[in-house]
Amino acid sequence: MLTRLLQIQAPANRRFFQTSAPQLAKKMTRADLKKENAKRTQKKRTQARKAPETSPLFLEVPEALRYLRAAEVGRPVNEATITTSTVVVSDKGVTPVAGSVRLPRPLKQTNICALTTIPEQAENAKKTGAQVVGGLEVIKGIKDGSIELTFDNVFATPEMVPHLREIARVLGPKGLMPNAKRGTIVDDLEKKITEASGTTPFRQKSVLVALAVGKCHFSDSEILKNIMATRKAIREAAAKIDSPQPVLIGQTTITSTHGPGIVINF
Amino acid sequence: MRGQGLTKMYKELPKRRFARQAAHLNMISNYPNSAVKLPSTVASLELTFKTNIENGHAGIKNFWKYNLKTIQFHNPQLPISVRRIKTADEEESRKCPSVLKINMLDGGSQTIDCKSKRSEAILQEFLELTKAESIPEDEIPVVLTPSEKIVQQEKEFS
Repeated sequence: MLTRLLQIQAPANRRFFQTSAPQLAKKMTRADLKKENAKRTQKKRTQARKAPETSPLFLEVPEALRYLRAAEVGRPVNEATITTSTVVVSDKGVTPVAGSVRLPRPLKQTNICALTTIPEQAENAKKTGAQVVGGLEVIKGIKDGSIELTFDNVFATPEMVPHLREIARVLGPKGLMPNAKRGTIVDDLEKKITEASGTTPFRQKSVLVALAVGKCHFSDSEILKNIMATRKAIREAAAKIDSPQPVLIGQTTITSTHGPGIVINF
Repeated sequence: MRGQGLTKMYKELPKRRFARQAAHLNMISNYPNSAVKLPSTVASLELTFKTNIENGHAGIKNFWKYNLKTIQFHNPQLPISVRRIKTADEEESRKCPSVLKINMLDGGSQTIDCKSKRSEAILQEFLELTKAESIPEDEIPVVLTPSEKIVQQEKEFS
């Protein structure tokens, strides 16, 4: 042990390179580290500002979809989802990009039933996309089974509460019973329905924001509209973030469940 | 790890990122002998085979995995359905059909029995039955990797 110690402290021409190199190496100061990190982020920023057309894997969206649809041939409809993932360049410690987007063509249609006797509310509910709207006649229909329970949500206005008891045994087991505690008995049906139907949340994970924008059987224009809505929502969410340096949106790739990744103009 | 699924699914693709993606795209658009335009008399294609490859179902699975993608790429409007059957026991597995059905516009249909056949043989039979026309090489889109692009530019320059 003693001899080993002596060897390490021996003059430079007789030292062991493997053991003494880390000790003799120039130590990185905090300032150096900062400089290094700044260099790295600068590199990422310049890369994010590059036009997508410069990438060797760039294709226009309709052409990209042709490849993806071919890659998903013979797959079940629910298996073949088209996704975009976007690179986000932000400083360390900045809050992640998050928000929600209303897709013009949602991947899954939400079935909503609105129970109200106020004609004004009923009209609004129908306009915002509730499948079944009505008062006592709908309750009667649900009770005798002429209206099938294929809903994802049932909302009601407060004046309907005494009548709801009749259908509690039908709705209750399915978890559809309107309840003030769960927030499904509301004064403003329109607002509630817009919240419940067709919005998809997104959130930045490490450096990517990924979002499903369509199925393979959607038409080109439907997927394009969805992509444009996603783009707007992500850019708005990124612009809102409070950060010393602005949060940048980088390269976006489109891919499907079994397909290759293709860079698109986003 | 990113991209690992693809490397596992297609072991023959290169490992480097750009090269792998470009090769995958080119494999979809131009798999050997499969870039064909089907005549307008073909209405739809139906494939039926097992989920696993035992008892002679390997060829048609490979036909689906490689050739059918290219056929769909060059015939985007053609409806193609694939039905994969899960079998419970050995006897069912032996009885399960492995067929490629070609439905014609006039209502008739032709079937190819694909049991214990290689995918190349199935493709050959399919092309003969449908009388599909092969697409000339220069009309098929190609995605180049950065290094291939440089080589091509040098060729054009000299």
